[in-house]
Amino acid sequence: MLQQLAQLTLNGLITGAILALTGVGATLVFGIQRIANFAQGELLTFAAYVGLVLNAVYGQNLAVATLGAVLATALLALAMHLLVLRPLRGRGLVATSLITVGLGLMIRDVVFIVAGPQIRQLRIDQSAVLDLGPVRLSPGQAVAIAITAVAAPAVAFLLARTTLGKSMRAVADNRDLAAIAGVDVERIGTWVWLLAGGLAGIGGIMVAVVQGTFDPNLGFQVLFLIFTTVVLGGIGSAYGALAAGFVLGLVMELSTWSGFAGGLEPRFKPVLAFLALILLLLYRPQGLFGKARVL
Amino acid sequence: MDLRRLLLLGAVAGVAVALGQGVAAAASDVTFDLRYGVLAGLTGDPAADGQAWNEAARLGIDQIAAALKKRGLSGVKAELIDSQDSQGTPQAGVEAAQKLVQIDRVNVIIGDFYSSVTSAVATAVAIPNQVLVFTGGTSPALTKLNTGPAALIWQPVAADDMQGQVLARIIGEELGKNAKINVAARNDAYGTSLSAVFKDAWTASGGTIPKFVVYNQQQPTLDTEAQQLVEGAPDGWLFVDFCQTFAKLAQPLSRTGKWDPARSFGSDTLNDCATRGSTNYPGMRATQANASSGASFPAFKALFEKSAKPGLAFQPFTAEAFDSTFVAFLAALEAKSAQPAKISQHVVSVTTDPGTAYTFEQLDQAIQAVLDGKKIHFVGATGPLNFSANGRVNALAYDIWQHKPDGSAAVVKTVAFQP
Repeated sequence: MLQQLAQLTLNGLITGAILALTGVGATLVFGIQRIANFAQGELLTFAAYVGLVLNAVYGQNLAVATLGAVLATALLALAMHLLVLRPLRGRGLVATSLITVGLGLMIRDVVFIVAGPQIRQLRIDQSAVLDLGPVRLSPGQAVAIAITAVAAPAVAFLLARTTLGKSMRAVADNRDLAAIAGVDVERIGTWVWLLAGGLAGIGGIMVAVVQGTFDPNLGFQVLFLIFTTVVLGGIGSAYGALAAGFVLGLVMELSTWSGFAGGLEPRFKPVLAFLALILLLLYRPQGLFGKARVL
Repeated sequence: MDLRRLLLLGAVAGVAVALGQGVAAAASDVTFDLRYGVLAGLTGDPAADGQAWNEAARLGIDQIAAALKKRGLSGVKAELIDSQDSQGTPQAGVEAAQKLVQIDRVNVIIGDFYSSVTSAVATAVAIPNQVLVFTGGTSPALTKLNTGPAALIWQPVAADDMQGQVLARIIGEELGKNAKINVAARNDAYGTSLSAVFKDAWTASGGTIPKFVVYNQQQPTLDTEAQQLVEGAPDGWLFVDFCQTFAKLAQPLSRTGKWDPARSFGSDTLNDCATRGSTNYPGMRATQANASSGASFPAFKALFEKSAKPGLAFQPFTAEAFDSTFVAFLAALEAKSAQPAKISQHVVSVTTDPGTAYTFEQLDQAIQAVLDGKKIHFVGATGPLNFSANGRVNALAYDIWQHKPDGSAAVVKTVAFQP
C-alpha cells in the first residue's frame, strides 16, 4: 500500500508540474492582459507537434526538440498577441476571451489538417522502465522531471529576482499603479505572451513524453485543468499557479489511493478537481494564494 | 435461308425485343433520387476513425452511381449530398444531423459510429423527421428506439449484448470459466454498456472480476488506472476502448511489469490497431462480428486502398458504412422510392434468404435482378447481414483477431455464436 502511495505521489507531482508551468503562463496573461486565453491548450498541442517534427522528422535529440518547441510556441503566442489580440484591446474580457477560443480551434484544425488525426509519439522508448525502489518511472516521466527541475526554479527566479519578473508581477497586481511607477506596460504585455508561449511549449513537450502518444487533441484535454489551476492559485498570481498546479496534481492522484477509504474511482479524478474549484469559488473566490480585494 | 430458319430467327429476335422492352419498362417506371448524408466524427477524438468511415461511405455511393450510369438508369440517382462532423459528441452530432435533414434533405444518414451520438440524433432528428439511419454504434439500446411502424434505425453491426456474451465465452474457453479477469473500460456509452454485459455474463458463468476500472480516456495520463488494473493477481484482462486512447493506457500498463498482452482480450474496436494509426500488442486478442468474413471483404479493402484519399489508413469496421450504402440503395430500388419509410419496408427483403446472393462486386446483376422483380440477398463486405425487422443484424459468427509479433493482426479463428 505504501508502494502504491509512493507511486501515486510521483504521478501526482508529474501531472502537477505540467499544470503548474502552464498555469503560470495562463495566469500572467490574465493578470496582465485581462484575457482568459482559451488557446493555451492548443499552444501545448502546437509545441508537441513542433517537437515531433524536430525529433522524429529531422532526427534532433529531445533537448533540441524541446528548445525548438519552446521558441516556436513563444513566437506563435507573440503573433497571437500582436496580430489579433492587441488590435482588439478594449473590446472587453468576454469578447477577447472568446476570440482566443476561435484562435485555439484554428490552431487545432491546422495541426489536424497538416499532421492528420493519427496518434504520434516522440522518439523515446516508452516501453523502458526505470526501477527506483518503490516507484517505477518511464523515460518520458524522467524527462518531464528533468525539465521541471530546470524550468520551475528558472520561472521562480525570473519572477522573484529579475526586473522583468518583478514588473510582470507588478502589472498583474495593479496595472495602473505599475504604469504610474514607470513600468512599461506595453513592453511587459509583449514579454508575458512570450513567457506564456514558452511555458506552454515546455508543457506540450512534457505532456507528449509523459502521455507517450498524442494527437491534435492533446492540449484540449488539459485545458480545463490548467484553468482550474489558475483559479485555484488565485487569478493573476504566478506563485499561486505554481503551487496550485502541484496541489491539484497530487490531490487528483492521491484521491485514488486505496488507503484513503478504498480510494476514489479513477474516472472521478477530474470531478474532484472541479468540485474543489466550485468550493473555492464559493468560499474563497480569490483563490488559495490570491489576495482578497476590498473596495 | 429457308422459311423455317427465317421464322426461328424472327422468333428469337421477337423474344429479344420483348425482353428488352420488359427491362426498359421495368427500368423506366423506377424514378427516384436517393440522397445520402454521412455523419461521423471528422475532427477531435474520433477523427481517425471518422475520416475512414466517411471515405468508405463515399466509395460505396460512388460504386452505386457508377453502376447506374453503366446501366443507363437515368431516372435513378444515388448521391452523397454532404458529410457532417459530429466531433464524437451528441450535441454537435444533433446540430450536424439537423443540417443534413433540414437543409440537405437527405433520405439516409450513414453514421454516426458512436452510440451516444446516434442515440441523440435518432431521437432528436431522424425519428421525428422520418429519416433512415445506418449506425456504426453497437449499443443494444439503439434499435429499441424503433417503436414506430417503420424501423428507421438500422444497425449493420452486432450489438454489444451479443459481443459481451461472446467475449465471456471466448475468455472462458482460453483462461478457464473461473478465471479472474480485470476489466478496463472507457467512460462512455460504448465502454460502460459493453463492459456491463460482459460483467454479467462472466460472473454468471462462475468467473470473478477483481478490478473493474472505468476511466476517462481523455485524461492526460492513465498511470493510476494502470496500477489498479494489475492488482488482484488477475489471470487475464478485458479492455473496452478505441485504439487511439488505449495506447495511453497500454504504455503505463507495460511499465508495471505485470501486464501480459497474451492474456488480454479486447472489444471489436481493438482488433487491429496498427491499421488505425496506432500499434498492436503481440498476443492480444479481440472479437469482431463477421467483419472480415464477407466474401467481398478483400475486394472492399483493395478498393479502399486504391481509391480512398491518400494518407487514410484502412479500417475494417468501416465496411459497415460501405455495406449500408448498398443496403439502402437496393432496398430503395426494390421499393421504387427514396422515401425512408418505404425503403425501411424492404431492408429485410434485400438482406436475407431466400434469394440469389450478390456482393457489391455484382451490383450490376443485383440491380438487374431487383428490376426484374426477383428476390435478392445482398451479402456485405462484413458478411451476410441478415437484417431482422427490428433493425438488427443476426450475426452468427464472430472472428477472433490476434495481434502478431510483427505488428500486424489477423483472424485466427471464427466461432459460431447462437444468442
